[in-house]
Amino acid sequence: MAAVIEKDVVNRPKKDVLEGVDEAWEQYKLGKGKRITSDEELDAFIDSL
Amino acid sequence: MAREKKLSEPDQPYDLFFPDTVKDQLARIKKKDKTLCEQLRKRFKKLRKNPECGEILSHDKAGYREVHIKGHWVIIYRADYDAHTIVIVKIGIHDSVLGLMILGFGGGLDLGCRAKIDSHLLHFIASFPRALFFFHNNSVDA
Repeated sequence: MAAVIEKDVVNRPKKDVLEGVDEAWEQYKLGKGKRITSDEELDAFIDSL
Repeated sequence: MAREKKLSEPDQPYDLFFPDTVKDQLARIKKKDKTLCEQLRKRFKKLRKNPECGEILSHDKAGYREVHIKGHWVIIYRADYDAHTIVIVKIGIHDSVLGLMILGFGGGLDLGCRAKIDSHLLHFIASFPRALFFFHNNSVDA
């Protein structure tokens, strides 16, 4: 029984966590987002959120 | 010769790209969990220097990679090698860890709520072997 449950957990598609991934990639293709070119810029970006 | 050239020209860190959806997600995470946000910051910096450190995803998500942070949180990203850019496409909780808990509670919970459920589940799993050991020892002594 335990083995069946474990198999179910491991093999279950990760639909939830992968939801929106392709949409985000499309946004990148369209340039909708923020490009970061340095660590300093990354710090400033996260601090500004 | 090629080796000399590589040594004299250190690899340029990759650019990062945060699509609008991920920006919103990151802002929500920052409001709810500052520690996680700092861990994300460090991981993003590492990704810029080592874009292939993540685990490769397969099937319909081929081309994407995932890296784990804070145990059960995961960054999903994709490298655009031509543009020398790492695109962060999702930050979420790894489903395979939550597993049956998500099946039971549904996927409509917000990030903070799901993180709490996840931490309780991990605590339960972590304490389970100790409980077994305790009962085993007591039964032997009796």
